[in-house]
Amino acid sequence: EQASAADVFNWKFQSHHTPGSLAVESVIKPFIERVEKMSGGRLKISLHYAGELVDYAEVDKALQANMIQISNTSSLFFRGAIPMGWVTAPNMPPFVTRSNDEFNELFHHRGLDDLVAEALNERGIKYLGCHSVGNTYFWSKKPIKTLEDLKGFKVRFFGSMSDFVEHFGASPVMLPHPETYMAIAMGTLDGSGTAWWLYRDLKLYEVCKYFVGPAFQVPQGMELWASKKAWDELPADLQAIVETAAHAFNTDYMDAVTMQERDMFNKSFKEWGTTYTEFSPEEVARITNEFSIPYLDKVAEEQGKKDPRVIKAVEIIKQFMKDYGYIK
Amino acid sequence: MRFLTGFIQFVDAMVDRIGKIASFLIYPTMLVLVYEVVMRYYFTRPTIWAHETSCMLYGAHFVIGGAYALQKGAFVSVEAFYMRFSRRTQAILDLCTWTMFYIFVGVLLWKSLPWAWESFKVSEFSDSTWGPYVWPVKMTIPFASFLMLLQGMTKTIKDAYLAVTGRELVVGADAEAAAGN
Amino acid sequence: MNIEMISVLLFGSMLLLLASGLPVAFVLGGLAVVFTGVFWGPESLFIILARTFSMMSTTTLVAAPLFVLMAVVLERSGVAEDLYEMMYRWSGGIKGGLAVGTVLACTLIAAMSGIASTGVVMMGVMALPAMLKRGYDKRIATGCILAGGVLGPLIPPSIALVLYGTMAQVSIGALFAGGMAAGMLCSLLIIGYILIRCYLNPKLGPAIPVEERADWDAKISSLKGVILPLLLITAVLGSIYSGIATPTEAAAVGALGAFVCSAIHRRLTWDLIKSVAYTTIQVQGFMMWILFAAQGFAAVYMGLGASRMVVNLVQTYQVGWWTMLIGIQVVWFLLGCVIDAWSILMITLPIILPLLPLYGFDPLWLGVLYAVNTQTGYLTPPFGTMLFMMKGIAPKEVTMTDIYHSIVPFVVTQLFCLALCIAFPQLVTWLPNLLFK
Ligand code: NA
Ligand code: NA
Repeated sequence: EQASAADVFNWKFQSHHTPGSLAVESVIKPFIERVEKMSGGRLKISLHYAGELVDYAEVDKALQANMIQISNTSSLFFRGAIPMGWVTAPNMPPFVTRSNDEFNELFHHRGLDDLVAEALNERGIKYLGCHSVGNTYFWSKKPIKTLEDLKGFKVRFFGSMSDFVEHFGASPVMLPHPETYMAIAMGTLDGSGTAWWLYRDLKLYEVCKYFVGPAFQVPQGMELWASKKAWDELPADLQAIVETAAHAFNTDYMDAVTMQERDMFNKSFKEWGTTYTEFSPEEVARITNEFSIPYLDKVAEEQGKKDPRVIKAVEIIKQFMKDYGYIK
Repeated sequence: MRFLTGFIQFVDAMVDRIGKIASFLIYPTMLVLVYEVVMRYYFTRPTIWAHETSCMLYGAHFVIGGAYALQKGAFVSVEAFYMRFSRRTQAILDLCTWTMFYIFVGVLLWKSLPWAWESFKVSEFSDSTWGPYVWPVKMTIPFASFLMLLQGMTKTIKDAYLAVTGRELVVGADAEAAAGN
Repeated sequence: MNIEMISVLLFGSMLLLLASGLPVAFVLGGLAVVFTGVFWGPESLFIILARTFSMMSTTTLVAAPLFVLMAVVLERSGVAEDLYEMMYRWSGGIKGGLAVGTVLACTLIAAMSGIASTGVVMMGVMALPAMLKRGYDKRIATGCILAGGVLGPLIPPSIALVLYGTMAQVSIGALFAGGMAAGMLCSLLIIGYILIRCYLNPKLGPAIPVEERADWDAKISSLKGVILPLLLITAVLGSIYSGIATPTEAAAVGALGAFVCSAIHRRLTWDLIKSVAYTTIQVQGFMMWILFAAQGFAAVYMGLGASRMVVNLVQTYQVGWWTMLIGIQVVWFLLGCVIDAWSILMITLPIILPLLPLYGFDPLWLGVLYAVNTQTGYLTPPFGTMLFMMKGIAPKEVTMTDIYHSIVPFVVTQLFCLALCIAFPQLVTWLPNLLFK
C-alpha cells in the first residue's frame, strides 16, 4: 500500500559510538536533526549508543530484521561473511589514498561505492555510502623512527593495519578493548593505533609520548547502512531526504576530523609533550609495494572466488594508485 | 507413565553427561591465556588467537552449562512467598509461570537455529586478524537452548503429574532430589 | 502506549513474577521477549539472541569463570580454610574479626578484577562457610561479602570506570586513582560498621572465648597456611601491576596458581580436578544465564524509549546545582534497583554530559560518584544481580529473605560513603591530583 504524506516514520539509529564522542556530537546528532527538519517531522530517528540495543557485530542481522533501521558501521566487522568487506574503506591497506579528495574520488566516483551497494543490497541492507572517521596513526611508549624500530613492538591494531605492522616485525596483540589503557600504562603493550582522535579522547597521550605517521589510512573509513525493509517503506521524497542527509553526514565527518586533527598537531602536542615522528618517503614506498599491493592481490585471489566484485574492486583501486603515481 | 519417566531419566542423564563434558572447557580456557602471557612476556611473541580462543571456549562453556545448572537446581528464585504454598499449589503455580521459561528459551532456539545455520552455510569466519570459523560457537546457542528446553520439560511433566494426581512423580532418587528447584 | 506506562507495566510484572517463585533468569528473559513482541514487533525478537551472543563474545568476562575456578580450588583443597583459621586465631578477641578480614580480602580481590561478581563469588565460596562454621550470624556474613564484593567495579581495574572515562573523556588513569581513593574509604566504612555492630551485639560475630584463644606458638604456626595464598595473591596482583598480564589473563594465572597450591598441599587429585570443574560450570551456567536475560531486558527497555523518559524528566525541571547533583544521584540509585550499571550509563550520560560545563561538575569526581553509587545497584532489590549470585552459592540455610535483609545496613553504609564523597570532594580527588597533576 502507498505511504501517505501524513505518515510518520520512527527509526532507530544504533551507533557504535559513545555519548559525547566526536562522531555523536559533530555528525550523528546533526544528521538526525537534519532529517527530522527536512522531512517536516515525518521521519524521526532515535539515537542509541554503543551496545545499547545490539553490539557492533550484530548490526547487520538487526538491520536485516528491521529491528533497527540505520547504523554507522563498517563492513570490516562482517568481512567473515561479506567478501566485499575486505576491499571497503575500513579495510584499506596503508597509503592507497593520500588525501581527503582522493578518498572521495576513489570511493564515491570511481565505482567502489556502487560495488559495495550491490553486495549489501543482496543482504537486505541499503548502503548509504562510506565516510572518513579520521586519519589512522599509531602511538607508542618508545620512539619509532624507522621500520626497523617496529621489531618486537607490541601493539593493538585491527584489520589490515594489524597485518601491516606484523609484516614489518611488530607483534600485534589482541587485547580486550577495555583493558587497553591499563595494558599500555603498565607496559603490557607498547602502543596502539587507529583513528587519531582516540589518542586524544582516551587520553592515551598520558602513557604514549610518541605519535607515529605519516597517516597510514587517509582517511580511515566507515559506512552508513540502513535496513532495506525500512528503506523500501519510505516514500520517494523521504528516501531522497535521507540520501541528502547521508551525503552531508559524510562531509560533516570529514570536515570535523580534519579540522580537529590540525588542532591537535598544532596545539595539543605541545601541551601533552608528544613527539611526532614520520616514516621516510622511501619507507612509505616500501610499505606500499611490499605490503599494500601484495595484500590487495591476496584479497582479490582469496575473496574473489566468493564474490567476483572483489576482483573488480581491486582493479579499480590499483588503477587509481597508478593514476596518482603511487605504483607503477 | 513409563514413557514419561523414561523421558525424564533420559534427559537427566544426557544433560548431566553433556554438562560434565562441557565443564572441562574451563581448563583449555585457562591454559590458553597462561600460554599467551608466557609467549608475550618472555618471548615477545604474542599469539593472535589466544584471547579469541579463550572467549569462544568460555562462551560455549556457560551457554551449555545452563541446562546442567537448571538440572542441579542452581537457578535462583525469590522463594519468600512461594515457600508458604503446598507442593501441589506450587506445582500449579509453576505450570503457569514457567510459560515465561518456554517463551524465553523457545525464542532463543527459534531465532538462533536459522542464524547459526546461515553462518555454517557461508562458512562465516570472524572479523579478527586470526579469523577463525565462528559457526561452531554460534551452533552452541541452539544446541544449549534445546537442552535447556528438554530439561525444563522434565520439570513441567513432574509439575503436571503432581497437579493432577496430588502425588510426586518419582523418577529415581537422585534426579528427584536435584530437580526440585 | 507511552514509555511511562510501559515502565509501570514492565516493572510491575517483574515484581509479580519474581514473587511467584519463577527463577530470576526466566522472569527477565520471558519479560524481555513478551515486551519486545508486543511493543516493538516480533521481528525485533532477534535482540534476545543478539544479547546472548554478545555476552558470549565479551572478552573481559572470561575472567569470571576463572576466578570462580580459583576460589573453588582453594576451598576444596583446604587452602581457604587454613587462611580463615589463621585469621580467626589472630583476630582473637576482636568481635567480627573474620568479617573484617573478609572485607579486606574482598578489597584485595577488587584490585585484581574489574567485575562485581568476582569478589562475591570467590568469598561466597571460601569465606561464607568458614564464618558460618565459627558461629557468625548469616546476615552479617553474607552482607559483608556482598558489600565487599561490589567494590570490584569501584577499585581499579574497573570496567565501569573505563567506560565512563571513554564517554566523558576523562583520563582513565585519574579515574582509577579516584576510584581507588573512594574504594578504600568505602572499605574502611564497611569495616567500621562491622566492628561497631559486633561490639554492640557480640552474637553476630563472636570472638574466640578467652580460654580457647591461641597462644603465640599456635598463632605463628597458623601462618604456615597463609604463605601459599599470599604468594598467590602477590603473583596475581604483581602480574597485573608489573605489566606481565592483563586482569583477564591474571585470572587464568591465578587459577593455575591455585592448582599449584593444592598440589603443594598434596591435595591435587583427579577427583578434585573433576569436581571443581563441575562446580564451576554450575555456578557459571546460572550466573551467565541471569546476566544475559538481564541484558536482553535492559536492551528492550532502552529500545522502548527509556532514555526519552529520563530526558523528559530532566527537561521538565530547571534546577539549581545541589538539586541537580542530588537528582542525578537519586536517578542513578533508582535505576540501579532495576537495571545494570552499563545500561545506566547509556541512559543517563547523554543527558548528563551537556550539563557538566553548565553546572561546573568535575567530570572526574562525578565519574567516581557514579561508580560509588552504582555499586549499590548490584545489591538493591528487586533486581540486584549479586544478591542472586550469593543465593546461588550460599548454603541452603541462607534464604533469599536473609540475603535481602543482610544488605540493608551495608547499602546504608555505601550511601553514607557516597554522601561523604559528595560533601568532601577532596576525599575522591586527592589521589588523582597527587598522581596526575
Ligand atoms: Na576492580
Ligand atoms: Na539493583
